[in-house]
Amino acid sequence: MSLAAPVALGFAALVPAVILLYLLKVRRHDLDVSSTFLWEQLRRDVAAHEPWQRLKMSILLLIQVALVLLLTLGIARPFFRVQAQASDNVVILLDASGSMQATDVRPNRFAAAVAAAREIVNRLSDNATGTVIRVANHPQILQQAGANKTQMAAALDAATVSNATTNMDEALQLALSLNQGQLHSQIFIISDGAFPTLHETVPATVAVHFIPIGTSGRNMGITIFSARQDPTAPQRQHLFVQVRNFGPAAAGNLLSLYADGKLFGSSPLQLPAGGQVNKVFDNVPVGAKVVEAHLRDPDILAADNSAWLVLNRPTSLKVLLVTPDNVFMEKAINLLPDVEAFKVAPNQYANIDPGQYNLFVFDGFLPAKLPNANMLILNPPATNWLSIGPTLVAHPRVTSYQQDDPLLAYVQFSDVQFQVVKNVTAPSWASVLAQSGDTPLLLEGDNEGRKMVILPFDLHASNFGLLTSFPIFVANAVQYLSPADPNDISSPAAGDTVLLQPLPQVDELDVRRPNGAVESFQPRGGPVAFSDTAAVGLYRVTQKAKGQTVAQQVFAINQTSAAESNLAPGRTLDIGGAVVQRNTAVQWTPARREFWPWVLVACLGLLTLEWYWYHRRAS
Amino acid sequence: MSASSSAGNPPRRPGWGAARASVELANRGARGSAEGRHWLSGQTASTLLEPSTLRKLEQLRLVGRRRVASFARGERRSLHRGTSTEFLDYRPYTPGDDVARVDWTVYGRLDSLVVRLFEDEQRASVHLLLDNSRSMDWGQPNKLTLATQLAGALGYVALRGFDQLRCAAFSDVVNARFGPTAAPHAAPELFRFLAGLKAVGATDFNAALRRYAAQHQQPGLVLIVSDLLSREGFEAGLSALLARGYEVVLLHILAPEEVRPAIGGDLRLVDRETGAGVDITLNQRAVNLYRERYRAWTARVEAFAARQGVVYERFESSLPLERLLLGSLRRRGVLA
Repeated sequence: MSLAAPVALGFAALVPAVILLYLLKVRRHDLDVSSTFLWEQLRRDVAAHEPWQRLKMSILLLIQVALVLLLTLGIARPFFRVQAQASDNVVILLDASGSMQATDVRPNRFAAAVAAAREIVNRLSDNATGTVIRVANHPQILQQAGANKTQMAAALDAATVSNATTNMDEALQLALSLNQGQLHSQIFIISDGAFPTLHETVPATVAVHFIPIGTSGRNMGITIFSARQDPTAPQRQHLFVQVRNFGPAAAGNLLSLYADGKLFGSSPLQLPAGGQVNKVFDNVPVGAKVVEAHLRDPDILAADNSAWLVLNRPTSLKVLLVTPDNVFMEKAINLLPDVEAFKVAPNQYANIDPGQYNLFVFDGFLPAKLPNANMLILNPPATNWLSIGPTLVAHPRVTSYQQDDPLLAYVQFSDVQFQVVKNVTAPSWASVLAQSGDTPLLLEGDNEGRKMVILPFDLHASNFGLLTSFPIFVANAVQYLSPADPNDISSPAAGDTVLLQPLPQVDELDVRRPNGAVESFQPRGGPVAFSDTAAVGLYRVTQKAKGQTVAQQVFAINQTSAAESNLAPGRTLDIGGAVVQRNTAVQWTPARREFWPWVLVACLGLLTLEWYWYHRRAS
Repeated sequence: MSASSSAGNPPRRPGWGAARASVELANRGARGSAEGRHWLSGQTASTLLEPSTLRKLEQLRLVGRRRVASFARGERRSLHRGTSTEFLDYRPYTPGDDVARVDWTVYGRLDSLVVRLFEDEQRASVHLLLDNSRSMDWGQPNKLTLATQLAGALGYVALRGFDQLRCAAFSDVVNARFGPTAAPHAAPELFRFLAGLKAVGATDFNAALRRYAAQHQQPGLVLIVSDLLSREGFEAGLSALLARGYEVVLLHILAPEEVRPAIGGDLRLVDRETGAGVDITLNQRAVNLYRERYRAWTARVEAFAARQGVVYERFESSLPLERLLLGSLRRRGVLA
């Protein structure tokens, strides 16, 4: 042990001062009392007339002297010499991808990686700063850049593993950008190397170290699982499964297929080292919603032994056209694929059930109570939410329109000519996509959860219906206004954010995770972003309106990345053509490790003891 | 005093009811005293006790809780009044007195009931022990002042009841004595004795009382006024009296500052009796500890008194004398 500030030992001169205080008597005022008989047990010390008293050894005196000596030691900044990181700035890239769940090292590779990272942090010099980046499908900085050792250790304690793929390229890019301008910084990549070759170029001032984790590559995994419609019988599905053996030796296994939990096919597999096999199953039960492929034999990574697929069937869109007569619109809608068009006269609207239709087209009419659906509105009458001026605008010309809006894609709106247009004032929720001066010609927006597209003119009083752009516009509008298919969630990868599209009337959206935990969301008209997709398995989404379930959907999170399933630990790392050896240039240099904070803690302990002792004596 | 001369000489003044004390004055032959003038109107009486207080005391008698069954003639009060023929004095009639002994002549003249007393009366022995140690001369109001007044009042009541009164002041020893006397006219002398007492010595309650018990062979009612602030305790002294057959009334006087000390910082408490000092930081904690110790001490006194059949009354020196006499002591059954 040495001292960084030995001059501070001079504070030890305070010890005689403490002893002096014990030699001095407290100056007290005399108070005449009838008798000290009842006071005698409360006496503090014996009275004497001299200003000095004999020094009596007391625990309090010893504690206070020890306190002064400890404080003196603390101020002198004692330290030990240790071997520590030479660099003052380090970045630790901690691989938290699916492959890090492999159990070839106990308890798993991720725990081993965290332990290795903690070892690095422990060896940092006291004034070193660093950053811990958790690497999954996106890099995540676990604590603010430039954190001290304690903060880094806390960040490591809180780190969790995922099922996502390793995006080490992006992580390295982030690490290099954090280290920009730093001299002698070091980047530690703690990983099993289960990621593609890195393309970053590392500057000479940055030393990259690779600390490989993992000992074995014995793993067989499902790398592809997909479905395709049978071209001859659209209601039937064909399943395609690819299984790969990433291990160093040939291995056998049994592949089983389940439809909604019921076994419908299996196939014994025998794969050579590094080999793969493709299987097609065409006997999927008709109407099956979820199929699962499962490998029987356990290996060091469980996440890739099962995969799920949600089978979606195309559904047609029901569109209700409410119009006295509009041939242009009728024809344009009927041209669209997967659309079932219905037509009703305005005076018959009250007799239909709006709940049966997905989309409404109102022509020259608006119901008093709007249906809970999206709508295309032509030539609207004035309502309480849409104000229309009393006078019509005659022969307006299109002065501007938003060509790049999806609604107007491939639509030459400037070619449209008008006889008269209603003088609509754009509501606050609507945006104007085409206008003539101040007069809106096309509006769109979200009115309390209902998407609306408004054309404030009669098609018959313009040439729009005659233009080739018109059917394109209607197709754009129907696509824009189509409610999201509740069954339409593409199969996302672990760690991806899934956009859940609630129906307009939905006020509660529950997501049940594979482990049974349920998370609830309150959609406010828009989609709900669900990002907690770390676990592999089936996620069940329930859409509710006023407590009633209105739609259910399922999506699956799979670990079918060949890169993550390939668990053979890499011993070297290829970064931009430069090969980084295992643990190569880790530089340890002698450093000071000061321990005055512990001395301070001991001082606090002594203070507490002194307080306790004083009050114990007083009572 | 001649009984024959005064036996047929009941007071003959119209104002008898207004100043009954003058009856005794006249009967005792307080020669030269003007009729109707209060016989305690001298300076001693007025400085120790107010005349109005004295008048109220005239209604009261000392009551012992037990009577002595075996007694010597003329020394202790028997259960019955004496029946000898030698007239001693009159005293006002109190309920319970033998109606046959009412002097109907006096009643015929003055319309007031008086009872004749005779020389052969069995007298009660009343001992009045007053602590005049230096610790008593302390407090706001001063404890010794109230204690002296209380002793005076009790002595006056005893004399008025024709009890044989002995009065002694003690600290570690008995340092002043008065009596014995059974003469009501000795009251001014008693008051002078009490008014002349000075605080002396340190309290040794046990030693003083043990010696007193050994010296006096006529046990009776003993009234002790003390602050009990004696390091040696109080039990041995009281036990000595009780063993001799005394009926003990312990009147424990304390100054308000002794009951509720105030916070005062770093102090050296100087004992008034010994001069010894106790260094203390008089904070809330110290005050609380003192209160605990005080409670334990008073509980010890109360427990002893309850166990030994001692009549015990504790009061503060701020208590008005009349409230003490007419309230507390009457409730305790010391006065009736």
